[in-house]
Amino acid sequence: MGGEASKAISKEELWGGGRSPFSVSYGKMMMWFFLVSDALTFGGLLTAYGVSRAEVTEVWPIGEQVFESFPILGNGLPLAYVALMTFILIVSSVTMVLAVEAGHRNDKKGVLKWMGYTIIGGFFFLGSQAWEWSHFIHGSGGYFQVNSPVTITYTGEDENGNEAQLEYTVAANEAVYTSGDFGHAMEHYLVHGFFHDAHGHDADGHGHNDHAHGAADAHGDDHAADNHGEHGDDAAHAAGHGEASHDEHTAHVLLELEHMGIDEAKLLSITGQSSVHGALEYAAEQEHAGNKIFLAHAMPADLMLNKYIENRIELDSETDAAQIAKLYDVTNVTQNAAVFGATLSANEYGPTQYAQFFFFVTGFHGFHVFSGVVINIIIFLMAYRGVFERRGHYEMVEKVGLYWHFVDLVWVFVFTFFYLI
Amino acid sequence: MERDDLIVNDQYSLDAHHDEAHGVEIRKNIWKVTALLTLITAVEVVMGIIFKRSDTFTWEAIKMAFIILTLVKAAYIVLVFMHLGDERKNLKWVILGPYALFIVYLIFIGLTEASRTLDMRTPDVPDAQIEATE
Repeated sequence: MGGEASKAISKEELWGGGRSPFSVSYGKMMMWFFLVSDALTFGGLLTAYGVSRAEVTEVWPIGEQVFESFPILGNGLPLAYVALMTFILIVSSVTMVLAVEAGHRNDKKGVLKWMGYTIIGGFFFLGSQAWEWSHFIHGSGGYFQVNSPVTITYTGEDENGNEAQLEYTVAANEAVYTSGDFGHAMEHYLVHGFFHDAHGHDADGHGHNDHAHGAADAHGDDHAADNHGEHGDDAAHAAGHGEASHDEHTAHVLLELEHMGIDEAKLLSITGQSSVHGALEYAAEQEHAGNKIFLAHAMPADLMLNKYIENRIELDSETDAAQIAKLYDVTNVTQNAAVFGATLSANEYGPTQYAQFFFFVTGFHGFHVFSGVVINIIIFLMAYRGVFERRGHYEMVEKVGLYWHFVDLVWVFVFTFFYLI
Repeated sequence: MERDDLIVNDQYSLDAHHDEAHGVEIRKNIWKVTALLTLITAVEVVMGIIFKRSDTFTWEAIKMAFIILTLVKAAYIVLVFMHLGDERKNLKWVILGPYALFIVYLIFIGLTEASRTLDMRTPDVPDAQIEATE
């Protein structure tokens, strides 16, 4: 772009005093130094988030399942609203840089126009964040356990893969999960046993039969052959898979059991078997037959872990949160039995740390956006009154521009780590 | 006290003044970067919807792709929108150098510590137990 900053100046002259060796004014340099320290703060917060996330044993919520609601349009639109928010912030960053450019031409009208748009964009973002927080706090449901068996009909696929009305009976103590927005449940779904596919599963239909998998099928299609092996088709097992992968798989299942609060002794007592191998085989058979033997034994807090999985039956009935209690004859809707939304002490999405970090980091960022809007308004008014015109340059616009871009920069990272990964 | 934000000539301020012709060029570049940032965001969102979390290598690669795309976006914002790319080299280094040093180190110790903690929280499955299941 040319200008003082890119001009070659001899070292003696540059560091000889009487001028800035960085070719920037004191104010702008201090703004940069402030931004570096603020960036370290946000870097520290996001790193802390990463640390918490990496060290919890529970399943971390999946962004596109937590944030799938859109104002007016309802839910079922993963990441759509946050994408719009991101776009608004990027555009307001663009209008800011255009205001700076106009300032370089001493174009007062241009500065006012573009700063005006920037302020409007800032308000839009703040409003969106308020909505997002409100939605996050109110939540989309939670889970319930039923007292007595309840039969539910739902749309699914039958054996031939055709769409059909299917029936399913929710057993006593089985958990029913709900999702929707603002406490209004749009869908209910059930988790078939806890040998679920926690690691992503191709949507191979939502029929009841498809989901009555055995234990060995808990980890995706790769292990489909293992499943046959467990049910006596040893030839297929031996041919398709080495013993090593089988060991690994068993270890993995045991580990998941541990996370559910079921240790080896408990596993043996629940199944009534004498060896781990026998217990797992028994569990697989029971699972295959559709008996959810483990659900009744797992603690509610453990069941929470299953909320964010891909493998679930979606029941198409719309019910208010209060009606769900009647419909399913809920055991007790207390903080531990059913969690709605999020507070600092509990949330329906996953580990406590998740909501805590969400509130702190997006809140701290939102506070920056708010102060950015306030500062932008002040500079807008100063420009309107002709302060910078008299001063002969619009460097103040450039300085607040730096701050505003920084706010956008932080959001780019928050967006990636809270919503995408 | 002398105020250095009152410089009349453009001695300190970066590119403090330019003419209309130059402005057209700068604005063109701004819109180009805007299109690029929007495109990257759109790609990220579509990837976020399509790809499901799993413990496969593909997901790890996608995670890395998200981080790389984010860093590309950040680089454009800092270098173009914040004009750091047009500043003197010494200022660039004074800003980016210490930051990169601190944050890379922080991430390194943080994640090392976290994986150790997770190891301790996760029950070990000894080899003997695996053999017993055979």
